Amino acid sequence: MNSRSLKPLLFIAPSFILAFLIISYPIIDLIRLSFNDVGTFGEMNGFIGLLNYQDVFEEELFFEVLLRTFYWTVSVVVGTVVISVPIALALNEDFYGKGIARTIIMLPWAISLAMTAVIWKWMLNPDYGMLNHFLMSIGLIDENIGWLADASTAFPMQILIGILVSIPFTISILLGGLTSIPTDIYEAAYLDGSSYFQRLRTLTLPLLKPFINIAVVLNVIYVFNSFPIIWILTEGGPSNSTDILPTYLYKMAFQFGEIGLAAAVSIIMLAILLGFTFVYAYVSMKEKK
Amino acid sequence: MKKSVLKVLATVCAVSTLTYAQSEIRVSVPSYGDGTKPGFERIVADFEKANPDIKVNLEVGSWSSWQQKLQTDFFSGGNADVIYSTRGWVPTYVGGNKLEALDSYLSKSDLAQFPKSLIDAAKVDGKLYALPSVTSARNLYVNTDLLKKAGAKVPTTWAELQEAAKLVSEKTDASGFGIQGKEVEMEKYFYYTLWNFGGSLLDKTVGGTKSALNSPEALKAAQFYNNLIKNGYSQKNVTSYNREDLQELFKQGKLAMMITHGVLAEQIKSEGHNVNFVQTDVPGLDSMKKGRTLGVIDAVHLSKNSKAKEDAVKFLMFSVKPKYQADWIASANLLPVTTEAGKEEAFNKPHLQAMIAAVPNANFSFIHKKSTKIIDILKNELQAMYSGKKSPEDALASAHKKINRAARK
Repeated sequence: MNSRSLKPLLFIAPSFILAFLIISYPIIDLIRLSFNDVGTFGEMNGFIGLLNYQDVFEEELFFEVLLRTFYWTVSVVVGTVVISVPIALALNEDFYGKGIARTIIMLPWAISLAMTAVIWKWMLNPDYGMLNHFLMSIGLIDENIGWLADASTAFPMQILIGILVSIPFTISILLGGLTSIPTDIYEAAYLDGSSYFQRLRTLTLPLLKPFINIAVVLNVIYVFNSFPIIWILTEGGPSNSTDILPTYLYKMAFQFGEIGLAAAVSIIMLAILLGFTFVYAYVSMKEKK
Repeated sequence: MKKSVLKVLATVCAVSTLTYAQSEIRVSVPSYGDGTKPGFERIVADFEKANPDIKVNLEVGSWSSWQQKLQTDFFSGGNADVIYSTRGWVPTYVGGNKLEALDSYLSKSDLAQFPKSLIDAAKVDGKLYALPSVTSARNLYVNTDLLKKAGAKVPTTWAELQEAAKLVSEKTDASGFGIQGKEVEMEKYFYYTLWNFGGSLLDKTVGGTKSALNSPEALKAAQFYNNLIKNGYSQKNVTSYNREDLQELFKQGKLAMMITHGVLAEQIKSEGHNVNFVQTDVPGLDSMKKGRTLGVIDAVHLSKNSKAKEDAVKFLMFSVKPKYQADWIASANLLPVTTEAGKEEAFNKPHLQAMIAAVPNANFSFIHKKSTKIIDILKNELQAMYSGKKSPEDALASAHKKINRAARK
């Protein structure tokens, strides 16, 4: 290797080392915690091997919560992508007030997730919430519904809110993808007599696929790790029936002081997300070839 | 020229010596309301004036994230010297060797300022790791207009309460008795029936801590709430309601009875709600027996790693002077912790007096190093019962088993 090829490596080395340290330190520390008996205040009481992992897997609730986390992630991500694609396509067309429409769609992104969840909590209040009031005024219900009193209504509402808050980010990725598609191929297809849906199926969607893939991967990571919506609305209750891994983990670490167990759950979550990303990337690349 | 340089040097030396000699303590306080921060700022200002060699750094934070804040502070070793928190967390802090016992720092006359019952309740394994900082007791709130409309009388027993709740729910649009079904202190709402029907959560007489939820008394207590819910004598969707939600219902005249602290009476007055109510004792099992209510003690601790323990204790005792308690505690609608402070005019308000009258009949909730886990188990099982997913028998049996397992770990 000559000095010329070494130079760029030397230039990026400081940022690379810094980024590596910042990213790897918490992961290495988490791994260390997960293999130790850790007290409530972080005191290390000795190496215990896989005992924390064993305790986590012996807990019946963990598997319930894990399954619910998958359900939550798949529902929110699929729902988000399915709704975002047509909205992005519509926003990519030329129409009067396009700028305003784009701003309105993106606006919820500017509001913090916690604040959105608090507003929804008020809206879902059984006695004073806007939702019950609205449904009653149009005659759909004749008595107040306790939306957050039971998982059968609370969890679907949380999924719906999860979808609504994920839409702006997903649309921004998809709009980026749509503007990168050259317009001349559409003109050629139009001259060949293709219909709108033919162009959509054979041109737009295949060319948009890499961007949909990015949206899916990023949304899976964000939604899988999402905490505020579930926590603010129900704190994982009633009776742990809306708990997902992040809320379960938070209770373990900061309410019960079970730091070692919480570290083990974090590592399991990291492994699941890494596994998903690798599999998804592998499948996408294989399709490309 | 030389002289003036020397003067400047001497001044710098004197100032730096003074700075060096000054001891610093950090005080962490959770906010009880708008009056907490200004109240403590006045205490700090007066304390620093009286003790110019001690500098106090005050931090006031939110109650909702207080447990997490203290845990991470202790985790990193960056905790304050004087820490205000709640008595329930003391065994966890003591287990982690984070607190200094106060016994050797306080004189008999210091301790004599506090009622013995409060000091005894604050002890862990016979040692005083927590000095009471604020206390309160719960009352039964009764909307007298609704009861009058329903033809019911203010209940003094649980049977009367059930009857009044039945009449209100049948004869008015309001709900009879409010049951708290989620969030902070939800489990404590169950203690009212549990204690008054003769049960308890834990049995400490059996060597080690074990659940006492397998008792017939505990079952009666659970069945009582379950029947109120099933028969429609409580508000609907119980697991939707935290304490504040119930208070809101009461203030709007949509709930006839609930048990809570003095803040509700103050809110009804200050927010101008048109509700006629009485703030009375929690019912007893029969009319001959006064009902047991819940007493809450919050506490202040001295951290083990404090480098200025003597100064920190000096601040502690300074802060309990009656005028300071009358300032920040009364503004939070809570009760003082020293006998002298109880005589302050600020506490001579009807809603605070009603709480003071309830103190002799107050039980304090258990303290245990696994208390948060035990409480979580109880809450989850009660929620399963309140939402009709489990019978009282199943919910208690499951809670009993899980609590025993958690307490053993």
